[in-house]
Amino acid sequence: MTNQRDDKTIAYLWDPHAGAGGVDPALLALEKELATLSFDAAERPLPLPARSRSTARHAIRWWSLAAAAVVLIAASGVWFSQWRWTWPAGRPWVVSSRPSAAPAEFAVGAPFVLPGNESAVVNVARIGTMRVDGGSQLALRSTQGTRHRLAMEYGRISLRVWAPPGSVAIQTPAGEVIDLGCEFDLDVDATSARVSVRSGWVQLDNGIAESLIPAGASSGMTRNRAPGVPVFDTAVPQFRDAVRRYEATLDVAYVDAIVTHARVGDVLTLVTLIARGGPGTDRLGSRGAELWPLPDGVTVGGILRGDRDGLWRWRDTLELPPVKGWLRNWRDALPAWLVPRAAVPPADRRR
Amino acid sequence: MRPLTTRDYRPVVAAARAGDEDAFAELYRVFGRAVHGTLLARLPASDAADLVQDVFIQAWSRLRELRDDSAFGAWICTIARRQAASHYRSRREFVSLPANLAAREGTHVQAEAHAAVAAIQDLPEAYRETLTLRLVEGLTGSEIASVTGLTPDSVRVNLHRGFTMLRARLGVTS
Repeated sequence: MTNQRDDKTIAYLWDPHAGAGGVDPALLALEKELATLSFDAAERPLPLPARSRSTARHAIRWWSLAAAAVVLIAASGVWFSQWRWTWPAGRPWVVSSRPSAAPAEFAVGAPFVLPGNESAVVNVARIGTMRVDGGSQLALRSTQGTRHRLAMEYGRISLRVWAPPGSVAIQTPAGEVIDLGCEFDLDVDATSARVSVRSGWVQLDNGIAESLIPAGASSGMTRNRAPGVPVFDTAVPQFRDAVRRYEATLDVAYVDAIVTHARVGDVLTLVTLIARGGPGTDRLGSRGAELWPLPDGVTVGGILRGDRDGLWRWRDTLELPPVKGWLRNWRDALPAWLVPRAAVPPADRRR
Repeated sequence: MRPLTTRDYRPVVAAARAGDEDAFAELYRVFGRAVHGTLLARLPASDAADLVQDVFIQAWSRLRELRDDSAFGAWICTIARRQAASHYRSRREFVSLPANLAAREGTHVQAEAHAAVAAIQDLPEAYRETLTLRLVEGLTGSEIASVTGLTPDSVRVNLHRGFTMLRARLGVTS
């Protein structure tokens, strides 16, 4: 091809309307042959499927059904919540599982005594369940709406409740145990009460002081002194023993063991001991600051001189769940067999 | 011939999306060649002609998915490419027919045309679609760029190099 024909051929390739003069004849011949295969819409009318016209209506129908389903689910949720958190005043609780010797219902004022080794399961109104172990005695003092009060003389129960804080409170010889939306085990005898918390928080209050125990921690109380501080179940035994002896005696000699055996997961215990005051808190504060950094502007010296705001700010950095965050423990609303008990408490993840 | 690039088809696409069958029929008349060329670059001529309608019917049901009405041509050609790939996979197990089979049934010109298409389909992939759209369907370079998503410069290069290569394959001398 000559250069001129090249140019015209290239121009024609780009735009066939540019004119075929001087174009490579081979291109024109090829184009003429291939044009016999070109598509002509007139020869093949497009049969649009009839259903296509109703596609929009189908979409609207599906959206309507989806919206109706959402409204129905929301309405059911509201109704279920109302139903779950209301309970007629004085209505006995249902004993869902029991040995033959146990009472058939858990009525207000009637002692619920469970001898032997077998356990019973009682529905806590509609907000949870309570397993009562053999060798326990307790009573339902009042029940209405979301406020339920019990008295426990001795024995062991496991309570699993998903409801606003304070819905269930248990009076023991040592003081009151108040659920804050949680699951916990409670052991009671004539002089003491001990709790081991599995989810949420539990409050111990004996009139002398109160103590908040988070999931993964244990504590106890007696009638004659402030309830114990929380100690996580993962703490080493030497630390636990030293803390309990220190609380009982306020002997500064136990501070050595506390400081020596404290780990990162034990800072809440140290903070709570510092808040209580007592001998050796300067060393508890120094050890706590080594394990978990103080917030900006907060010093151990300041805390020891009475900076309560700084102390609580330090505690709030410990990544513990909020005390009033009971909604987060929604798993406690499900049957225990469906959601196994947490083996590792959240606070222990910081180790 | 209905030019693809000299008119704004966005109102037509919008009307078709709203359910206007006449508007969609116009899109079929305008873009049918581009879809056919896209298919013919990959499939036998008889299959390509049959699949054009399938591609448009699929587009009719999926028109709501098109975000940019001005890109209808490129969008439907993408559907055509996928349809061709799917069709090719489903037909793989059949024995390929000889390229000159049509010569026994059609005219000499058609036989030559089928042979030329077969030669185009043997070219490197970059040239097949561009040459088919230009030489079979008569699209301009600008129209090819708009339905393939290539730049005008790339289309120009593909046309030139592809045609040069095709001439050599067909044994055409100046």
